[in-house]
Amino acid sequence: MNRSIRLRIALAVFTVVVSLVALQIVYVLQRFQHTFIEEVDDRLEEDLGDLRIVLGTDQLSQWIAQTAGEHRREDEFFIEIRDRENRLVARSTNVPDSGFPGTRGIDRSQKPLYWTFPHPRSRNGAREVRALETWVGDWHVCIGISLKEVQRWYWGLRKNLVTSLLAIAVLGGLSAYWVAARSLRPVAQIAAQARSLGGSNEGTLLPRTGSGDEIDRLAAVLNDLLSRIRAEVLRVRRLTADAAHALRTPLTAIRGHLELDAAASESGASDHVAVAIEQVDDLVRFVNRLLLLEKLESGLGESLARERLDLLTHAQALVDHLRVIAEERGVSLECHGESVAIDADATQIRQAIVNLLDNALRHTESGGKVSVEVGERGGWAELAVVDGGRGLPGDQLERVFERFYSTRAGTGAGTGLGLPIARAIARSYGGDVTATSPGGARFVLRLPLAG
Amino acid sequence: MRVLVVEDELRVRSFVERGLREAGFAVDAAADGEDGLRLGLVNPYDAIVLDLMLPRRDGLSVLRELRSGGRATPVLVLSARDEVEDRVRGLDAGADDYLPKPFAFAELLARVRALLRRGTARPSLLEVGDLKVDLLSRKAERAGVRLDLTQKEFALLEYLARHAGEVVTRTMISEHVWDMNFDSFSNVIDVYIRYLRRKIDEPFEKKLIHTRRGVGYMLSATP
Repeated sequence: MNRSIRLRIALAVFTVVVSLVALQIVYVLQRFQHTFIEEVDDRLEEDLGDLRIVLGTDQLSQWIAQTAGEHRREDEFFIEIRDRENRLVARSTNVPDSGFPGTRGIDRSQKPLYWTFPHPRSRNGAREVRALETWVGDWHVCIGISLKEVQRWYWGLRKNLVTSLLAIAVLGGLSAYWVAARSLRPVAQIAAQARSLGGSNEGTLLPRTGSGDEIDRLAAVLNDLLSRIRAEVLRVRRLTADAAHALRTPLTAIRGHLELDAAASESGASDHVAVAIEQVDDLVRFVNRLLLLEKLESGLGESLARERLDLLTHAQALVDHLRVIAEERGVSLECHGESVAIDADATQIRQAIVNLLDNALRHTESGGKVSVEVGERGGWAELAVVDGGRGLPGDQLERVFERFYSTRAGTGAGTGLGLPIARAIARSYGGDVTATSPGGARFVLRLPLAG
Repeated sequence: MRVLVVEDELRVRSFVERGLREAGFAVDAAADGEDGLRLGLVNPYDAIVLDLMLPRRDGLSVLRELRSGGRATPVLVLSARDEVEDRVRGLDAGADDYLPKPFAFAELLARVRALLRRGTARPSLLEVGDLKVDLLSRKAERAGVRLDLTQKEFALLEYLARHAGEVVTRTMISEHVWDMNFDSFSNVIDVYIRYLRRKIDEPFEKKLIHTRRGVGYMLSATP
């Protein structure tokens, strides 16, 4: 079935209009036919009245010639008269030798009989003749009038009616389509708006027409749902942010005291104090990342100042910085591509790139290769990081962007927040980070071009 | 040198106080904004460590009052929110430096020292034991032997030498030498420290670069 409601409504209206108008036409045509036949029958009666006067006199053949002549132009006249012994008395020339077509041979007590027969000279039988059979005194009379004129009217009318039927139905269908399209336009707007809505677009709701119709009411209900979901998401976010935030002061205190203890001893930190400090640092890093992610996803990062940056320059700088790490691990790290300008905050963009590089380095074994390609593609500024790891199965291509999701295939534990942060940064600029797996994993950072 | 610490969180205040004292400073402490402002206006401090979120009077207001009261004392602002906005507002209100929580004490100490050093002439030749770092010609030598350093290695050595005898954290190094700070950079710093050790310490008996586990690194003639 067609997926457009507009088209379905239009087709339904078209079908209904066609059926209704067709019924009407059939009715009108039947009434019309009936009326005309009655009129013709009246004329047959009139002719019969005239015939009564001349019947049995010597004027009969003259009358026949005259009447047939009168009728010749439009309505051809047929006549056949027989006496009581069924002997032919008179007959117009257009009646076939076999006799008047369709006579029943009624007897004198019976009522006059009307019927219709095909014109003897009509090839396909479309032309018809209306006939009357009766007894006038001792004569058995059959007269008929060709329906040529009536039929011409009838066919003309039928043609006109059918043409207007089609016109009405097409117009009806088009109007239905137009009306449906008009009433459904808010639906398209709602769909477009809904598509652009994210958790962070606070306050943005679906458009209302204000007409109070079904669609408007649906938009109102959806808006209500949206607000409630947002409130819930906001509550959960705030909870995470508050929890992370509350950890900062105790962590600072723990770290400070441990550090002072370590400094107080002559030989520096004892092993377990050093381990404790490192653990606190891990926790601090984790809390900071979590807070950063919260900030990005709640849209607070959008207020940052933007400047014109060359993506390649920054990628190159970070690759140069991280090359020593790659070399330590026996991984070759290279960056190539072309300059492409973006408008963004340098620290954030660098953070996103670093996270992608970090991820790639952790998933590439010694002897492998990580390469970075920068350039403009399809109207976007693109940075692709391809690693020499084992790649990602299809179901993980999206999951790696979930918080705390770990494939556990790489070396060295990440916090499970690096990729989500990279994506959140890209999205805060209207871009995205996506993953494919053409062998190793390939992460593409896509950002809007400067302009 | 006399330092005022204004911080309402006892746990944080206690170790900052203790640490600064152990580093040789005279330390006064206040637990709220009103107290802090009163002390700051009365006593001639060399530096003030000021938390932003304080009871009775918030940190920014204390800072403004101090400045409008004619006090030019260098102020290091602490904040539990590391948002750029906080940093900008703090600096606008007259703060000299900004440190987000959680922080390493070594970093707080280094920043306080940096504030106190402000305005004093910077030597162009730094000497740590028999190591000489010439900041003008960007050359370094140890025991008369010329050290062949890359640009990055020299920048790292310069930073360590400027803070000779002090512990510097990886965060401080990455912010000052690399001009940016990302978690994954701490590994990079470790690698460069290793490169530097290979050139500065390995050929000699006496080691100058010391690791303070869990804290950072220190360049010093005495361990």
